[in-house]
Amino acid sequence: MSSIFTEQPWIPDTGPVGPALSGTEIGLNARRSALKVLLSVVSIFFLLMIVAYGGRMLYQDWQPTPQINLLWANTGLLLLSSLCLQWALMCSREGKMDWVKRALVGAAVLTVLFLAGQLAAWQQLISMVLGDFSNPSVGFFFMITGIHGLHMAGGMVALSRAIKRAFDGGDAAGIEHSVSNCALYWHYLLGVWLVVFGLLFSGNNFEVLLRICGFI
Amino acid sequence: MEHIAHDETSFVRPAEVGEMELYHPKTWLGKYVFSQDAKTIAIQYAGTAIAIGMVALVLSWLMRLQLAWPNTFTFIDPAYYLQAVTMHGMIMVVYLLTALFLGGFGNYLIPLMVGARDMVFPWLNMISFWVYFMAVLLLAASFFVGGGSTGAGWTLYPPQAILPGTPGSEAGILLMLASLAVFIIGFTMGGLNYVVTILQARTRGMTLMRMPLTVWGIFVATVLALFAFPALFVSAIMMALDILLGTSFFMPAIMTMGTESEHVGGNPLLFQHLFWFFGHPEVYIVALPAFGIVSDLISVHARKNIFGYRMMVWAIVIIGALSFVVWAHHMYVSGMNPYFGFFFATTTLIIAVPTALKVYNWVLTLWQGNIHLTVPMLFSIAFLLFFINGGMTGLFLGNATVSMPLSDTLFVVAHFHMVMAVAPVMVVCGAIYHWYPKITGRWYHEGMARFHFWVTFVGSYLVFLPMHYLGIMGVPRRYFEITGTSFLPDSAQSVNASITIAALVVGFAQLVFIFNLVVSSFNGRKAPGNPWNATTLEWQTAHTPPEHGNFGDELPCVYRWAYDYSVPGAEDDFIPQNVPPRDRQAEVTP
Amino acid sequence: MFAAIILLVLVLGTVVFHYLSPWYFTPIASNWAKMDDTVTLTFVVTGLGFVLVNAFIAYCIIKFRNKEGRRAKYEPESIKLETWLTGLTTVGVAALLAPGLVIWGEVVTPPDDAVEIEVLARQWNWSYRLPGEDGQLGAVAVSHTSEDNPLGIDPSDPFGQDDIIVYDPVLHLQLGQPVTFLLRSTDVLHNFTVPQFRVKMDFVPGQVSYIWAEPEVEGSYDLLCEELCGVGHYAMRGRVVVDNDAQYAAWIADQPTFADTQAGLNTDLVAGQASYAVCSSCHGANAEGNKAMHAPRLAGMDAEYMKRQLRHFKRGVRGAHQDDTWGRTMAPMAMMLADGSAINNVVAYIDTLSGQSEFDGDASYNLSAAVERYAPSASGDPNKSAALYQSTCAMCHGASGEGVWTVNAPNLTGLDDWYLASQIKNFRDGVRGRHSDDLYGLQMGLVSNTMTDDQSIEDMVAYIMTLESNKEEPVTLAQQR
Repeated sequence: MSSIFTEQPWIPDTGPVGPALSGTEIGLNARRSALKVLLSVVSIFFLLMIVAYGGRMLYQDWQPTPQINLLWANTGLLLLSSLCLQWALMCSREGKMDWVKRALVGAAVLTVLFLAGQLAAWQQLISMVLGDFSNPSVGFFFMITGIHGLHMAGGMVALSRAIKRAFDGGDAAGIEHSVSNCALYWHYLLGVWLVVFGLLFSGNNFEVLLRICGFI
Repeated sequence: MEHIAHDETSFVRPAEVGEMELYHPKTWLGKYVFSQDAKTIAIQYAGTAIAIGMVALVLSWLMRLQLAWPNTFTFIDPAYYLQAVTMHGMIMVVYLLTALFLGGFGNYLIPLMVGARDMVFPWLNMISFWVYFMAVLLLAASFFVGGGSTGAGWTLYPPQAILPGTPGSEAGILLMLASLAVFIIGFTMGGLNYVVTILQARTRGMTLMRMPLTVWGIFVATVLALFAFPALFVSAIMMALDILLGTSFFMPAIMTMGTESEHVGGNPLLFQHLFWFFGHPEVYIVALPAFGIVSDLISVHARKNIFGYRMMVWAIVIIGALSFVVWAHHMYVSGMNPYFGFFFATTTLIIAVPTALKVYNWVLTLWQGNIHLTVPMLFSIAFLLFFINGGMTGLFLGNATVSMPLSDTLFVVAHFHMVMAVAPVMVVCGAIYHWYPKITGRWYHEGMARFHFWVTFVGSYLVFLPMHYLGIMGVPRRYFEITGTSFLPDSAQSVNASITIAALVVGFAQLVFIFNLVVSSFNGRKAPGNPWNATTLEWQTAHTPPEHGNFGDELPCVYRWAYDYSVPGAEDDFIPQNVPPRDRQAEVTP
Repeated sequence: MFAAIILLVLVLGTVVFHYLSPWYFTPIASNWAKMDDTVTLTFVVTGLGFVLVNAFIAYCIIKFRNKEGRRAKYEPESIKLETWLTGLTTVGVAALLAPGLVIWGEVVTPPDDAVEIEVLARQWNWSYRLPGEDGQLGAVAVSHTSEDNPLGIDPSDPFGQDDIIVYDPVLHLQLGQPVTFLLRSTDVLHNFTVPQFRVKMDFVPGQVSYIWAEPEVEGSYDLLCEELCGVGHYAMRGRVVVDNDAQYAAWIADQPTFADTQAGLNTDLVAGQASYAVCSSCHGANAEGNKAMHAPRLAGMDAEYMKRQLRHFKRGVRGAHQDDTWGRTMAPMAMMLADGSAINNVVAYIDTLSGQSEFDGDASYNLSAAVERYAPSASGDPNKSAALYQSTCAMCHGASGEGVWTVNAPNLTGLDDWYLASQIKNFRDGVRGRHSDDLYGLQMGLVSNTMTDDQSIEDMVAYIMTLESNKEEPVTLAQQR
């Protein structure tokens, strides 16, 4: 890539042309880059919601969402499932397929539990606000957690395909690829959740937010 | 991939790239309907986009009829007028231009131009089209629901968009939001494909800096779209929640139709920021592919390399990046903190510099060229006129002070039609004529094409130039009629009438265009594989139209950039990208 | 060659059009002449660029057209040339930007001596509030807004009591006095534009935005809404009148304070009854109206609407047009009401009347029955006008013709069909609602333009009549409240 700045494209090749990538290699590379591009799109998506939330907080009539302690437990579940996937990735690199299967299933179960926990948290909040969503912070809570949950649910599709692959006993490189893609996605969504939860839903962190944004 | 181009070991004959897993359709349905071939998908995208675009064209006629001869066509009442305004804008910007440039030209040209067999995710590509198709159906459905489609203006500003008092505030707005959300999901699938194909599936020797500018334009525009559409997606979700659940993202405490609403504490400006964070890059999502394509058209038909290729690439990249920090120039008079005006006026006018450089380089490509005034070249020149004109009026509107008397008037309407409607449409037409022989294997009818060009070119200018002056006089936009003011002379009405006549004539010429495209594809003259003597890979395919897999048994190997026209010492006035340098030719030919 | 010529014709035509056409800015009436100067500067710089670049293109087309044996020059790039061009453009752009930023600095900072005037925009009308003697505006909230307190002033805030209320779309300004307009909306986005002032700004519900200007030329100027605000957007018109000091003092003295308007809610029915004696000769003892005298039924007519019309008759805003025979009959009658409180009293009294015909002994005779006497016009087809009513008229007058007070639109139900038809025609034909102070009349006039022939008006009236008869419960009269 460094040559992109210095290359003088009108000079034709004087040198040789190297060997081409095979179709399979292109396919695997493509998946990885597609995931990276997708994650940057998702980053913008969450960033916009967080900025909107932060911007709204600055108004004087801001009332934070009531605290839901269940979210701490859910955070733990998500953290564990992310760890499970990391473990699966390490095992698949060492070729321990039995452990890969166990770790993948573990990650899936933990993720389902996380999603169930989020639903329970929703129910708690609905009963706390008596079905009145007119407070903006409550609206933001449902939207951001909902969209995060949808992303986790979408990830479950990829994860279940990876599990199927592992149990069908496909080629090791292919399995490693899908496990590593799943792991990247899970770590990423864990990171998103930690930012969202840490800044917005774990208490009134208004001052922290201001400090991060450089207002204080 | 980067090690491929300039390796220092010995020169090797191109070896075949291992066959990518290509989908081989077995049924008629799989070949023509649920096709996974990017070329077929491109034509599906283009066909759908042009079809819904025709609806928007008809809507613009209805608007113009009312403005020219108010209350003569009694079925156009104020609500109907606003619905026409809204749907015309939204369809043209999102469902026609975005889909046509990225879904249409992107799908057809990216794999062919970078030397790939197909997009890297053909199945996803197919789904992407059908999701887009569903979005179009949802949009079209909103014409038929109770209350009709939304009439909130294409910007859909709340609170107005979702309150009674605005047409379509019942079901129309919800369908619009749903359609946009579906469109964005479909686009994201397609966009991932385009970006990853360009990054990962270029053929050997095709370094980034050897890609034709068409690919650069589409590539950067796709990246912009991927990053900008989430803002629209978020705002669509928020607005839908405000309607359905009674949340207060955008809805402050208000009183509508004499009753107090249940919302409290929302912020309407938040929507505007989100919308324009999408909306401004959207301008470049349409413009950048046009920039790229027109660069190639000018270069091919002037038989000259594009002047300053590297600057052209960096200008595209810089314009794309800057487009994310100028959004609030749409909001100088929106009631946001007016001090933001200093920042956004400055960033906006900075964009003028790389844009102007692109214009200079197009013009310098003509300089000392060998200009063939073919139909694609004529459209390119027309693009230059419209783009320069619209770019200049952009300097009025980007500068906060200058824009103030002009904002929310027809000056704005004239400006953005010049710069992001007519100018890109000129490129679309030029590009369709340019690639028509490759896509169909036949020639378009030259006479009809020239008729289409002259009417569209002169007519569009007569539509939009006088419109600026209506705006300067103070005619507001989105007004059903302008009678009853004390400052507008009666002659304003005759300007409006003349604009309408020109617009109807231009609209008629588009019917000729479509007729030409359809009829010529059956009985046009047979076209050769590389009729324009162009250098890029899509003209070097074994078959015309290119068959599934694009390049036959062997992928081409690229030795040079896409602009080797009139190279001194060369026999022909063009050298295709896959022709090796002369001193290497002996080694290459087996 | 042909292409180059057409290109040149278009470019030169643009320049000629710019200089020779009569269409340009309306004459300025505020301190923002320098804003016009920046526009002129931008025209000169961009116009020069536009002509030069296009002329160069035309030259290239002529000079470098394909000819036998021509070969293009091969020249990948010229960093030097590109740098020069970039530098030159940067200088040009900076020359445009710099003055723009300086003047923008003035736009965003109102001068210290500017007075504050609140503008309240709401679908689809304007009202204003000026600080009273204390020089301060009182607190407002949507929750305080009601028909009796249309601007939503907090009654408990002492600063609000002396605020001057202008519940009318016409605002007067003092010549040479800089004004900061505080822009407040209670429903959707609107925009404050006086084309002659050049500056404009949006209203955003939930916040107050501002813009300032110093009126420098006496006169009467249109106020337009330039941010799409719904079906009535194009008809949301107001008026700003720039007065000299004496005229302004007279105008301001005439405007009530908030306290005055609240006191005015207490009406004297006895006095009202006394005043009504004159009215009854035409409108009937029970306000039932008299078609023969062309006197409409008043019972059931919107109270706020009647007050406004009486004020208009009194000031010659209505009933002054020479073709408005019946309006001209009414105008001198309205003159007999001495002041605002007399108007309030008589309207309060009318509100108590039954609308029952004197000659009808039947005590159970209610309003619905009263309307049945006027069969819908024989030729009116309600089905033809239903769509127009619901898409357009209903936006202000309500889906069932009940009227909406925030829009200042009176109820249509309970009115005589002949009266409705004659007034719609008057609005459309400019017999009513064209006085420069009658902005609601103008609004109605613009909307009634959609009914081009008399038949469509008959159809519309027929439809409005069905709204009445379809109603389940009897029309709410004051006496039934």
